[in-house]
Amino acid sequence: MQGTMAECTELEWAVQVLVNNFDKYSSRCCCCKNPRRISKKDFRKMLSRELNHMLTDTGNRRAADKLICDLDENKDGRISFEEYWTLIGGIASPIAQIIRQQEQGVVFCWVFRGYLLFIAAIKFGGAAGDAQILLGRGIWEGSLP
Amino acid sequence: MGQCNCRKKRKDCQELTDVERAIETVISQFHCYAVKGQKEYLTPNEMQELLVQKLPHLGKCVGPLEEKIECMGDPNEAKLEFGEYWDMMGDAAKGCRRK
Repeated sequence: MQGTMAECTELEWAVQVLVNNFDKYSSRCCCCKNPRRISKKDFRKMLSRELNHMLTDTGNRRAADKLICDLDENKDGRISFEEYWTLIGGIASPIAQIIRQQEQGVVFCWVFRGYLLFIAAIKFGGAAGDAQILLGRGIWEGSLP
Repeated sequence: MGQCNCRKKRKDCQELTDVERAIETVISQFHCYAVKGQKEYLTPNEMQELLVQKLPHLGKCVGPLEEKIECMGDPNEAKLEFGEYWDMMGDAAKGCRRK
């Protein structure tokens, strides 16, 4: 795709990165023609490697399992591209909200040992239950009031 | 609009992974174009502008915007919130995968 998108925009780059990330951690089940999916093990690996600044408790096995369980609509223990996209959206949406509120001067944060900890209840569309995620230090420090 | 001036380069960008930077980019583009809705929602016109300017190669994968807006009632009142914007980016992403 790089070849055909020589002058891709920042947003297109971002979408491509998220697609590549799925391809990096997903695999096909045996040799059948099923679409690629991410296993629980690889999903946990992906959370801790790729989202370690956004999710402070990605090392937490049970939290990751709960995420997978909530996401895994067809209960096959593996995450499809649609389920993966919903997950990233569930992480991005409260962050977008927090940034907006900060820029409007509403402060929803407190300082703890120099880090910001945000607790966001994330509701996944169609998935059962809420996943509570500690959203941590990192991307918002630059926008501190 | 066109030129987007509200994107801030955060000083700790280097520390973030590519995936995190990508998520931040998708969010910042939404905020950039959501002028009328004060970063809370996009109007259909703003969404159209975003698709044309920021997704010139992938925009066609999103499908006709009119159909999506029609389901939302009065086009002058329609508000595309972050969730809907994210779903549209999902359509673009599926287009990416097919290539």
